[in-house]
Amino acid sequence: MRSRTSGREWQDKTARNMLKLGLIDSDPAADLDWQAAADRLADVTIVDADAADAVLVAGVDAANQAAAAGHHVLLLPGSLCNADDAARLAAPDGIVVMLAATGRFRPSIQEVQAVNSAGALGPLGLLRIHRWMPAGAPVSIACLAEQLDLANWLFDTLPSEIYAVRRGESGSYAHLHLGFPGDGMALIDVATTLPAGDDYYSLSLIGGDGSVYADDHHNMHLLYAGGQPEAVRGGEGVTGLVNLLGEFTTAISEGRPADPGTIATAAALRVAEAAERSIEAGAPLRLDATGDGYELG
Amino acid sequence: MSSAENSTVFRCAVVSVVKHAYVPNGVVKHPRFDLVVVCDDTDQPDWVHERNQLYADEHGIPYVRGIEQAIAEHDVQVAVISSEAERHCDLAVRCAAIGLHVVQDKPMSNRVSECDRVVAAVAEHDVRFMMWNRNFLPAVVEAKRVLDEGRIGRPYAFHVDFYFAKDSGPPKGSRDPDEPPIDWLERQIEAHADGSDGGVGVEAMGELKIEGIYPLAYIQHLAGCRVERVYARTASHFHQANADNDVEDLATVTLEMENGLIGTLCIGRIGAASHPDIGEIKLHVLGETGGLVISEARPEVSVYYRNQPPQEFRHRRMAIDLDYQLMENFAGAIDSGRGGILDAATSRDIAATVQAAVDSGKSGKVEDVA
Repeated sequence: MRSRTSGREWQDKTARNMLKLGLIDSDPAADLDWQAAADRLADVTIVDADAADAVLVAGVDAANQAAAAGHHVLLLPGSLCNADDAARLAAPDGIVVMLAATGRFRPSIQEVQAVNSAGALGPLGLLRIHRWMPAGAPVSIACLAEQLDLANWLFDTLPSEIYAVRRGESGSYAHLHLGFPGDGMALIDVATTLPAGDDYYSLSLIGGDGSVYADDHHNMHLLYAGGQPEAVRGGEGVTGLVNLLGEFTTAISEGRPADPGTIATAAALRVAEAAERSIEAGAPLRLDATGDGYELG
Repeated sequence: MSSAENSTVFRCAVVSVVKHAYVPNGVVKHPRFDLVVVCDDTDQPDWVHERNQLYADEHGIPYVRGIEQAIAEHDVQVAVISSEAERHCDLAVRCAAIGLHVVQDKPMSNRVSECDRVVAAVAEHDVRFMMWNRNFLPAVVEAKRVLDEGRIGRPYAFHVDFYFAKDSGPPKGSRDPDEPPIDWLERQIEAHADGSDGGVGVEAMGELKIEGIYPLAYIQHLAGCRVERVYARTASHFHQANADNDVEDLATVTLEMENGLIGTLCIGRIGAASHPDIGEIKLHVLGETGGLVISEARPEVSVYYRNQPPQEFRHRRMAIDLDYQLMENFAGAIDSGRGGILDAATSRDIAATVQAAVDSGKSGKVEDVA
């Protein structure tokens, strides 16, 4: 375990009610981001695992072991492969277990939801998300669920209809078409076919009274270094992580589940699994009478 | 070879101009096309004759009640049709039958069977046909160039957002239950003043039928493939006229195309409050080795000043060469006797895709494209 805490930070923070976070299953590049995020919070510090009262881990088993040992848990994105995994997550009384996915916590997305939840957009009509990444790996259920969680959150309900298609030899592209109760709808596409380099994200949300666009395309600078200029994204830095850590620490201090909690994560995974079934069937699925599962028809 | 090297000038009849003057106005942006007469059937209602007469007066050309008579008297080679939607194809068939090439406003028709008649007539009489389209907007031309150069590898997914940030009468939910539903044609006639009368006709049409050909033509132009299957969600989300007439003002469409290609479309008349300009119109294309994000409105100039009228666009498109390029393409098709962008058969396929989307929106199922 690496400690990224400088002596000066330690001195500044020890006087407060500090959450000590151990980065067990992280990598050096991500460690730097977690450290940078912790640096921006008065009540979080990064420590060695054996001194931690909260840990960042990968996998359900590791999360459950940590929780059983009395640690609050941040679970790395991608750790939950399906809804069953989410159901296996244990959160003993007084322990906060939270998926460390920054989707809801990115500043741009928080702005979208702030406008939406204030009612400024009116009844929601349409959500469009493009999530394009490099790497070429299959688009996993966990990856789809990250975007579906945003859809569920913004519409504040589960989709009532799901149609999906997948393309690419390795399943490197997936497109989801959702209907929501009332007349809301969403299109989400996730690709892992970009060449090595930056990813691309775009989210637009249109309601009866207005719309909001969070689009990397709008936030590109230009670099002139000969030939055609290069687009340089104006990124959001580590603010998403800062926001996530803020919610995690607040949930711990208030003795409540984190938001989003494992219920929301499991719901998004169930929708992603329904999308996979739609892909296999080549037909849409509908929310069943229980309101908790999906069926063909 | 530019068509300008052929000096033949085509004499054009404006065959009904009750809707968008931008079509005949665009036609004459090309030096090889002249407007010589406006004409329409004698049995049309007064408001139709009034609009035709007004256009004729504005352009200093005669208005003749009687289409065949006008064409015979004015030595016409091209018909430019911008009537109510349900008359489009019948007028096109009649004009093709007397040997005229046809430029037609959108939609091709509100019935695929009518589009089939045009395809047959154009083939039988060996004339050229072009649906008015936006495929030569600068941004679309740039997108096509990038794809043709192979800059993102083989493209496999095409996404278009095509929103018009316009109001269309009173908002949904604003009608008193005791008031009668909004009459579609009356609403469209009233909307002519602000140019939001794209759906003019007796039969109500949603955004898919009114505007769908533009974004679907982008996808067809860039992908070069037919659509085979469609899944759509549709809603009357914004406007009372759409709700009263059971036609959508918002739709999302998944397009499964030949060769495994995927397309999607978001389309809507989303209200003037939703965007400072005409709307967020974008193309996203994914290829096997890259991706392309295009703003259809670019290039544009931003204009802001004190006391600026609220209806005035803040961001203004510029360097638009669309009209000339469309007509240059059409002149080339006439000269060569073949081809042309958005010809009858391609337009018919797009109309069939639109119909499948409308059907899917109602059935909730995936629909095959006829």
